[in-house]
Amino acid sequence: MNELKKKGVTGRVAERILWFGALLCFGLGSITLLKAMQVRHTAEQQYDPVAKADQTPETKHVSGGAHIEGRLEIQALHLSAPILSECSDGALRLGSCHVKGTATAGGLGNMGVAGHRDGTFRSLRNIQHGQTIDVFGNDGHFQYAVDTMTVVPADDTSVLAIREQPELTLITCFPFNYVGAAPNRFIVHAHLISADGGQ
Amino acid sequence: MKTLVAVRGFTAVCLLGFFSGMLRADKASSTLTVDTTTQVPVGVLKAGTYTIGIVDSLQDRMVVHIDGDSGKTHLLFLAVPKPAFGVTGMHPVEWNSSSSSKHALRGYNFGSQFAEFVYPKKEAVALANANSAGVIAIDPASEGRPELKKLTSQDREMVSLWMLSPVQISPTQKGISAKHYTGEPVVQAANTPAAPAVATKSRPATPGEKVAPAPTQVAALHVPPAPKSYRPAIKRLPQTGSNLPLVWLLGGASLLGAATLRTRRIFNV
Repeated sequence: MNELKKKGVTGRVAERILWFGALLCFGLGSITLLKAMQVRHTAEQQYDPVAKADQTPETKHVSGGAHIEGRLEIQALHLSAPILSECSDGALRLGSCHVKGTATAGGLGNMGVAGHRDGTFRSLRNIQHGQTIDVFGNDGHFQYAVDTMTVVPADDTSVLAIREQPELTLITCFPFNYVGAAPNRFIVHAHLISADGGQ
Repeated sequence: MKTLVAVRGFTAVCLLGFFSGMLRADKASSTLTVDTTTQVPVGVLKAGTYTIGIVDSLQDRMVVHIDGDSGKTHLLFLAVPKPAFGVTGMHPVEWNSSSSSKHALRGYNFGSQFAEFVYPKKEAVALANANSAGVIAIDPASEGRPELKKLTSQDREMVSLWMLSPVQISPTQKGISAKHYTGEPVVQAANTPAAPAVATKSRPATPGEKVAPAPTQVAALHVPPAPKSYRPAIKRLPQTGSNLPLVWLLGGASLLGAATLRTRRIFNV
């Protein structure tokens, strides 16, 4: 009788822990998703294609020291993501990030933008050669055309080297369905169509 | 023995004379008079008289200085060497129409050599649009370098040069194409007087840069150097796998476990 009672108490405690764990996990996940949606909405408002070029968006920190410094849009993939100023874990949970030391939007160099394979850049697996990537930054709206897609090891930083023309390099983990820290990176290279940001 | 010493002494004097001559040519300056407010790469010159000269010269670029205004103006910026533009002699060359109401200098003719000024990206885009011509530009910020006025001499040696040219993107849309500028092969005509003797230094290689083999020397042919390949100083590409799917998975498993326990308790299994 006592043993049965004991079993029942243990079962109840375990059940409560599991309920609490589920609530915690779904709560954390939901908060992160909601915050990411809010940051994306802010970026869409700040970097509106019809906004006047001379309106400089205000700098507002969204995660640690990271602030929104632009927006990336791939219409063919229905992808719209804020570009945050640093690639910390917190920033990557909310959107894509600008790799430090690389060119700014429309800059004469190679602009590196990284995003989570199972978050912001989930749809990047369907990207195709020739598709257009719109980048909205403080200097205007720039368009890039996709040239190549490659898979490289995580330590191959040569993908961010400056080449013959200004480029945008999108970085996400590969394989896309890998559980844990993926060993490779999926790289999308796109070239700048026009350096004139007033288009 | 005496002859050997004499030869050595003569050689030393010759070399000294040669290098001091090069140094003089290197620091050679000329007078630049502007009648109205004029744009140059790192600022704006008010009407007046200035001195302009080449401070340093590398394989594919040169550093130009403009001084004047009783010492208030001291501008240092990049230019690229080109064959003499129009009439030879020492004179400035303007852009036909600048981006604003200000006049803009395209470069300066130093005798038989023309120094075409290198503008920051924003100004270069405006000039290329206004003149429908190619403008050489730099964008130090895109290589993690300081702003134009704070560039060090090493930055000036290493920063990438770009040629911005107007292009027709589509039947209805014009744009500005950008290409890495690596100099133009310039063949000097036999009867053209030689460019002023300017000491040229080779540019040091960046850590990630492949050093191109020495170009074969061809008489009077300026061979452009290989394009630079700057890359940011990071050891690994960012880690872009999120732990969010794992959180959802854990949440789902916990929910399933809790529901199973509850069901078992209700039905007293």
